Amino acid sequence: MVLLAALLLAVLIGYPVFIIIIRSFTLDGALSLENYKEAFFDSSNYKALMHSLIVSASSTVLATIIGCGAAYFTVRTDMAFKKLVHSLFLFNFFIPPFIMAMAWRQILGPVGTVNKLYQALTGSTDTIINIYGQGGIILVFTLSSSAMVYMVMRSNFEKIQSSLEEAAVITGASPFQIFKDIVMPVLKPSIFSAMILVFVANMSNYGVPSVLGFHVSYYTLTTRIRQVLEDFSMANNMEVAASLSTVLVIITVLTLTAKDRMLKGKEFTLITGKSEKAAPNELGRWRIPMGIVWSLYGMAISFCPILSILATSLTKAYGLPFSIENFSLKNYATVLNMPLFQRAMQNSLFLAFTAAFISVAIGFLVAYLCVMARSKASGILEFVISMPAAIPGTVMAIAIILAWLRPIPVLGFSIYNTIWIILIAYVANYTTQAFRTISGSMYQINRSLEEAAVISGAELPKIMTSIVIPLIKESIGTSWFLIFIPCLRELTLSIFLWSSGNETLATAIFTLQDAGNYTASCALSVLIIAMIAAVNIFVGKVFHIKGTVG
Amino acid sequence: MSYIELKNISKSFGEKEVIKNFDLSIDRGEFISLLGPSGCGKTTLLRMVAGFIDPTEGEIIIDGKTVFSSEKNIYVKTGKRNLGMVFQSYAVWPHMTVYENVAYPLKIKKLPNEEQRERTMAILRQVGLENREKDYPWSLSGGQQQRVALARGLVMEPSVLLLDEPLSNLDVQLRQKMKEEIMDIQKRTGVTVIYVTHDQSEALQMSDRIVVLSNGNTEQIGTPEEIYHQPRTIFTANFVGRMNFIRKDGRTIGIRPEYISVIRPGDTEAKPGSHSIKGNLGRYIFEGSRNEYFFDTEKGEISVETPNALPLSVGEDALLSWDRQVDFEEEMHEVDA
Repeated sequence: MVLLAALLLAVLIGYPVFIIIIRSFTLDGALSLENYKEAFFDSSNYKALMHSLIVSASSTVLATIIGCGAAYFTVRTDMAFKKLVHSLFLFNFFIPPFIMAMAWRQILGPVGTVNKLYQALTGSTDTIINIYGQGGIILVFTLSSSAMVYMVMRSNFEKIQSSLEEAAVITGASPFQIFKDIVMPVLKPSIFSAMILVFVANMSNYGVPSVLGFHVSYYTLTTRIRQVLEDFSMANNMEVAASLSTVLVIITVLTLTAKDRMLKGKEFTLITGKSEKAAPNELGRWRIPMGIVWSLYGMAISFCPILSILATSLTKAYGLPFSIENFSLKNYATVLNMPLFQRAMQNSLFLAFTAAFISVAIGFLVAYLCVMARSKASGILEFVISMPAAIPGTVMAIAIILAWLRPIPVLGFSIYNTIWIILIAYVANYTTQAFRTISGSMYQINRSLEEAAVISGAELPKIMTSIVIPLIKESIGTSWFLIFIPCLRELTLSIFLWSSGNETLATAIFTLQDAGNYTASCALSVLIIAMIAAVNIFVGKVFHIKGTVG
Repeated sequence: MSYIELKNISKSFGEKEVIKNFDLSIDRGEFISLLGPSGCGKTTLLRMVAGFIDPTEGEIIIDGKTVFSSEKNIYVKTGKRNLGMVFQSYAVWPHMTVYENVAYPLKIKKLPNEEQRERTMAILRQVGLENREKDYPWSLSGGQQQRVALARGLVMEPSVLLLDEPLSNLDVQLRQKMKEEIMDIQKRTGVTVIYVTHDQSEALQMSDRIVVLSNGNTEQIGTPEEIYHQPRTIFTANFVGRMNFIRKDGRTIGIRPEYISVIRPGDTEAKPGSHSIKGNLGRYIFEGSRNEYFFDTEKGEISVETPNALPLSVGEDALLSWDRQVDFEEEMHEVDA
């Protein structure tokens, strides 16, 4: 079993990562640093690296401020419209960032709603706002990430013990002093880890900079890697892409390591006594204005983008204003009858189903070996299966291409350009998540439950089937959905690996966009969002868990 | 006038009335315990003094100043009531050092740095933490964290120190030590204390007076001796210490197990007390410093507690006799026995 697990992980994760590092150091079959020289000194590459750092860092800072603010006001004050704000933030999770980017392009693009409105009002032909480039990417990253920060910080604000605040109230400290001296410092470690989460996610994001950057030749590391990969005029394009990928991985790994280092021992364990829920801070006359401000922001991250693509999807032709005469459902009919859509739907469903099953199986096997069987190899197994957590999708895609491009030895055929390479990439990328969820719940099983079974003479397989699996079957189900949902809308891996006939839903949207068929791509986006929302609501109902969302 | 007065306090949460017409006067420097089972309203009362909860009705006066009055529509904010408070969960701020925690109230009151330093160090010496000023709470034991909380509560020289079950997170041995320390500090500082607890031994050992509460009603207010030896209700008698109950003519008689002496047949030297009953020894428990005997009598089982072992075996008859007993007006309910 250990051998099987080791083999699976080696083929799925170990080998691709190994090969990408080797290739990054190889030129014409010899070891060389030439690729890195090019990665750093070619001005386009260097600029892309800087762009990545700038957009990720600034959106992280903005999203943290906004997300923390939203969490604070909805949890700890008597602000009006709290429930509405919360729902709006939650709804954002159904909108993948690249669809968010497309939606905001329709609002703030050169021919977008805002510019058209301005032109109609003033008669001018100028545009007043342009979403393409750095500013737009930061905007969309901030909008998306603020919802992520909000979710993380919300639970932290709820967990903070009310007596910590009351102890300060007693001293006569003002609400602002309490916020500044007590609440913020106590939450600092969790804010910091939320920031790292957002920074790494935005560094690794491919969809947003590709929607908002390509047109104006603004590249970030992820989109630049794609460009290099497709630049066949370069003799060593594969190798340079590999070294750029390695640079990206080094940045994410360093960031994540820095986080672990800085947080070591700092995560305050707050002893829980009986703590009544602290009275919410009163905002007085700011109660309603605050509620309106946050509701408007909530609209900006959920309703505005949805309405924008919904309006386009229901309009006869792109660019026409949304009105009764222009209303049409034909885009949906067009999409549903498109062979591209039918293939993409079939492929995405197949991929998401299968990838979730295989990932959960592998995750379970490795979790079993590491946690229950306490295998000697558990250290190395855990290390390898955890690697993808630090590997951006773009890099994983390149690694998979490099590893599987050539025909498989013995079998003699290549899976490149087939649906199977996408499946392998999904599994390689997501199995780490299944492992984390399942091993987490295995750790929670009280040792004594297991020991009681041992005492009564049960062997390990029996303990697994009669004690462990029944206890963690919910978390197995959860982890299946936690992989199924994001796979359904997966973009980054798919965009590198798809081929004609093997499209996925997300790549189909991109194909339609590139072909200028905006109305159809919007209709498809609406369908995807509806599907994600439906699955989420179903999962929430069945498993009684909140915030499954992919 | 008393130093602290709670006048006719009532509190309802929706339909549910958790405090009913509560009255209490506290003298300066007094140590008052609010004692009762969970849900009796003791914490609600404390939080009303603190200003975290407003009474539905009534008046609260601290040091001559009305801090709450439903009638006169007065509400003084928590921070302006000059209070110190210690929580069950310590509530020591995890991101501040011991010194920073204790000095915080002085910082908020914008005292000069030098005075802050002086007063903080003085109070840290009082609680025996002067060497740990630069340490963070996570490096302290539970008892030390609670001492930090105590120092923080005392540093402003508050009118009242409110203690909300401060010992219930500590282990048994530490609890005894902390009890003594809190009493010691209270004596030295002379601070007025309101202490909430569900532990009768804490209340008996530490308080000048105890308020026994049940279901939002005051059962009895009195010194620990009064509460123990002259409980006015069966509830109080049962909640504080143990008591044998005997039904008699629609009334109830209570006898503490240690009030009873045991006279063996043929024991001519012992004189029976003013009350007695015949019993047969049913079982016996040895508890180290004391011995407990359970006698079957015509009035049910009666327990007797003696410091020394009796020369009596299970199954033998004896005469139980006592001089001291408590008469209750109420009829005893089965559940009370």
